[in-house]
Amino acid sequence: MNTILVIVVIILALLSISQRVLPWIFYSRFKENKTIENLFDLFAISAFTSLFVYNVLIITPLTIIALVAAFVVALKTRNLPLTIVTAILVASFTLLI
Amino acid sequence: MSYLPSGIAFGAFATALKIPVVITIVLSLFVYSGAVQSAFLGFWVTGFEPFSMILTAFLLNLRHTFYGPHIESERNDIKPSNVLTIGPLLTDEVYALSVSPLSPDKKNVLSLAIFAYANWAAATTTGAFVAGIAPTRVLDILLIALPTLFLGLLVPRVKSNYAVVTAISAGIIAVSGRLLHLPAFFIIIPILGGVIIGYAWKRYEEANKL
Repeated sequence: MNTILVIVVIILALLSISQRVLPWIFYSRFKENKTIENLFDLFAISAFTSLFVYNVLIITPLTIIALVAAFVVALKTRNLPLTIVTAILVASFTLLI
Repeated sequence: MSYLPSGIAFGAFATALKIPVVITIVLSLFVYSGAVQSAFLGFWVTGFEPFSMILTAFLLNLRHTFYGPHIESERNDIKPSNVLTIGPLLTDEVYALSVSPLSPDKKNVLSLAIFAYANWAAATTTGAFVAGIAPTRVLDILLIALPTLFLGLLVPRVKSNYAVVTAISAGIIAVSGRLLHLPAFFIIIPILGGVIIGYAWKRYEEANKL
């Protein structure tokens, strides 16, 4: 297996546990702070938008239809599994016809 | 229980992208973050640039840093000694339930955290193995649906004008990067650019009370 891949996975695991645990060890009280929460949310919004753009690998009428359908479902329901299932169903249906 | 379908989808997408099953399972067991694991899939597609992946993971996990201290400040039954039991298993959902008005007691917070963790690990493993025996056509469909994973994660977070500005800015920079065929590490630029522009917009709105 690729060494770099293994190293990255180890770093991600260490990051994940340290970001959850270390701040709690050193700082045991934190009052709700909407400003910080909103700022952290911006990182997620920016990352997922960029990853979305970079993961549309093929642009065909089929992919556009599937993505639009999924977007509408995401907007209406805000439900991740339902959004993915919609895209899979629309893509499957469009491939069949 | 919502971890089940999301976890199955993550595992199936990972297998469709030909990520080794052992890596998929290790990610679920030791990284245990839907956002970071989804980003991992995204970076895998773009050519896997380690620096951008790790920086993005750090930024996505920043929100976890205040979950533990905030739970402790909101509840009298959670002590610093719970850092090692509940801390590693904190997710958005466990945190939200722990500080909600109808939050369970400490023992049940730990049970909930363990249940969510077990659900996620089992679901991703199931998804990875099921996709492994699926016909190629099904895997092609999964690859078409992959970007919707990010749509599903993105849309519920866009609740304000500056969030919209963030998403549009990151989107425009990312599309420009793709059109100009910039190398894989460029993806960190729209991620940081979107945050900077979105945050600047937020400050502008606050200054002008829009």
